[in-house]
Amino acid sequence: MESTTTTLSGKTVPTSESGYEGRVRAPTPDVNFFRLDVLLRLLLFSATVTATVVMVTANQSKTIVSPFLAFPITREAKFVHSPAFIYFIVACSVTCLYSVLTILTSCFAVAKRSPSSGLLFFLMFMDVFMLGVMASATGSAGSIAYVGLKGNSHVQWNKICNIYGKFCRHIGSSVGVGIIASIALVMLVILSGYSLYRRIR
Amino acid sequence: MESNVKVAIDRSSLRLSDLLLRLIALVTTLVAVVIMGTAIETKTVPITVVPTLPPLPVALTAKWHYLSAFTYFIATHAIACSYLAFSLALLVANRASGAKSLAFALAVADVIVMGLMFTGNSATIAVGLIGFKGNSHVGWNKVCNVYKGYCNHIGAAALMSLIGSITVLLIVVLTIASLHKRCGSM
Repeated sequence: MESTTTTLSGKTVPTSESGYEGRVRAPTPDVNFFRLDVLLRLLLFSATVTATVVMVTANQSKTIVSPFLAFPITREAKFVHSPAFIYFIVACSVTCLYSVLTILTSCFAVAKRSPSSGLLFFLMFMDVFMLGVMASATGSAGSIAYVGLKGNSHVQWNKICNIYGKFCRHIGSSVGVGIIASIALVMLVILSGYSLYRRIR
Repeated sequence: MESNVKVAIDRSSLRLSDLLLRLIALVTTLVAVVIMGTAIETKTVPITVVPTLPPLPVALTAKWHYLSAFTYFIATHAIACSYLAFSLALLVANRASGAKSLAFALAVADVIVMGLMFTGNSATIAVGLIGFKGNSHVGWNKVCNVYKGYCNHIGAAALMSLIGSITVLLIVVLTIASLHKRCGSM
């Protein structure tokens, strides 16, 4: 099948090529999936912005009163206390910036009848890298949040979510939105892959 | 004719590198799972119960399934490992026909497996980092000063899985490049 294609493209105008060309040219307008692409990128943008904002605002100070202490002490829970959450914020910010840039690119591509496959390839390539970054950030923040939620008796790590309830809710929602962002990136890669696949002659 | 031969060589070399990368990813993932699965260490820790008495030696065991992040790691990497073996078999079985639908289906599955591997890998690294450094803000003490061999296992497994994940990323990029190449210059 492939050899026929190359032979066809190698020759100038054989009689069979006119029919073949007609078959290829017809579905070309359907190959532009950039409208859906822009929508998914908007979803990615809103998800990463939400995740970043919710994680940054996850500050909670708690005044602990205990009979063993002479005076009440104030303890603060912040996202900067854990490297995993810092990594999550950085990854979300980078993905957010990336989504803004690619929304503009995709908006230009929507207007075209059939955008170049080079653009699709580039976007897909970058999307895969961003997926790697977002997936690892979500995984690390999620694992730390899980330890914070449940604690671990084997290594004496106490749960903190019974003390810092609001902080934990913020972290949990942020990680949840991060998962949505990762899924949006997977969908974007699959969409670009599908439109490349549709172009294979 | 000349271009035909050139394209054929190009595609066969691409497939060979794809197979090789899949094999590397399979081996590293398998090694990561085995290293993580054998991360069990028993240590005798002297614990002072009463200050006046000499410290009591207590045997404590650290196992991989004590931390949920490590269980998640094993699960994701077992899935990735079996998928890689399956895809390798599929590619070898269909080496004669360059079906584009197979390439696309593998690309989709590769991307999902890549996401899974990265989450499992980073979850292990994040929890392992707390085990290594501890976190004073929430009072989580480090455990790596006690269970040295255990921590070495975790670190080695994380490193192997990182290599495996990056190899899967390379496979995805190669698959995309071959899809791009096959759709020609449009």
